[in-house]
Amino acid sequence: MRPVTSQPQSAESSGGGQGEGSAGSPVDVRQLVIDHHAVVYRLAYRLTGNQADAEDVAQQAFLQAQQHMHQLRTPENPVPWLCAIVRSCWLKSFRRQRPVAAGSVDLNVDEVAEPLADEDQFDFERLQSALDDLPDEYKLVVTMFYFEEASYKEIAAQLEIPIGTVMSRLARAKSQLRKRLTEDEVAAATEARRTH
Amino acid sequence: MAGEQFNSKFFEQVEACRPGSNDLCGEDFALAAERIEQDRDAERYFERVQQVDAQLASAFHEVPVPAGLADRLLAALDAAAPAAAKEAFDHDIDSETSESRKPQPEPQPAVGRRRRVLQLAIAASLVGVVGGGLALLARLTPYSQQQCLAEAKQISAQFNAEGWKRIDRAHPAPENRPIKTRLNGSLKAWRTTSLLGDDLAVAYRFRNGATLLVCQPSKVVSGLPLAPPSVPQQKAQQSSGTHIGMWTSGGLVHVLMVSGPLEEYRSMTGTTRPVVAFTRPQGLPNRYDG
Repeated sequence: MRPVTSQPQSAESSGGGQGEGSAGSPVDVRQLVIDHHAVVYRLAYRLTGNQADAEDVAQQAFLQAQQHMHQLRTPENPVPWLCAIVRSCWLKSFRRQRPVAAGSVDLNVDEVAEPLADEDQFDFERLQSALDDLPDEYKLVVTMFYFEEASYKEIAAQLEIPIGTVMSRLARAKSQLRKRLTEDEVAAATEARRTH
Repeated sequence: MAGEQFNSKFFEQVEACRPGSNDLCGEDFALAAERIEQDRDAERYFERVQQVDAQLASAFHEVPVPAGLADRLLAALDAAAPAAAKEAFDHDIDSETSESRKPQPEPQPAVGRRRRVLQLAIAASLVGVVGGGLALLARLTPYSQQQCLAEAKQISAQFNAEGWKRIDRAHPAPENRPIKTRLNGSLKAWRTTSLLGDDLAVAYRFRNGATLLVCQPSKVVSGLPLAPPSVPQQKAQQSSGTHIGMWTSGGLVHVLMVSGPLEEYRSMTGTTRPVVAFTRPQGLPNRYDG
């Protein structure tokens, strides 16, 4: 697992600057870009579902960060702050406002997918496709849970919604995600058998 | 009913436990912890959810980062910076101007001609430097939304019936300036035009008479939203007027001009769809139980 941390990530072309944004030194937005553009882009991608929109959101997020740098309370770990800005940019500009059907997802002990073998991974595109099928309210909580590793209390506090709503959405969102991934696994296996 | 309630709470608490965490030890998870302790099936279920969650959490980070992304982001920041610098510059100019309105001391007696010539030369050089700086600033300063709006209105006013190509197999819409946002409407024709320094900009005409301009501006347009705004930047002053909404998507600036009521604009951009909050209607059975 790769938790969301403030570990700097190298820029493709920028050779230096790593670690300069450490605690105690003044934080510069350019340094934030160099250190954290990858995590910002990845979160934006998971929310928007495509590269162009993800880049737009990442760009918007860093511009916002530049304008509101004085609001950064934890310069030693700016990632949660950046993630909050990314979510805000996505909510303002991209959410599809698709209605969520009440009671549309069942929870069942039997529907939990079997864990994959250690060497396997959930396919990148299939996971994104399953994620894109979720209503935005679900996509947001499930992304905060898996990507940001936020607790249900943290999710409730950041989204300013009741804890009970978060738990309910989280349960349904995870269930729907797993169900979709399981269906895809079965379809892929069937297709593989047919082609052989 | 008690059993159903128990199950729904159990599932919610299990699903809220982060993989690899000790969330289950918290007070809020007492119900799930107790059942897992007592029930082997519940324990197996919890373990399975935790394993799958751990794999999913890892998979969520598996997103390839496009090459050159950091450079593009830094360039966008650089492009945005002169706007702030210009504001500060304007502020300074204003301050100086107000200073100059204060009563000035009596002029000193004239100095020698050579000295005055020297002063004039220095002043001229300074004007040149400042002028050059302003020109550079103008080149780097992002387009404002007002500029974008004004240009769009100007070129759309110049459109006539000529130059439009009907969208069909012979004249497919150009691929280099595609519409990056899904709009509700049927396309009729397109033509090339020039907007914000982009000579390859494309104007799309819809069957309802609306026009969409798509361009790749030579500089960033400051403050544009990333999707069609529900309230257009320019609202029509009268019922026959034009609503103009601007946004950026996929690196392309989109300017949509729709005549008629605001509902027509919102219908095209899909910004009227209501948000339906998730609530379970009272009286529906609890569907958590498998």
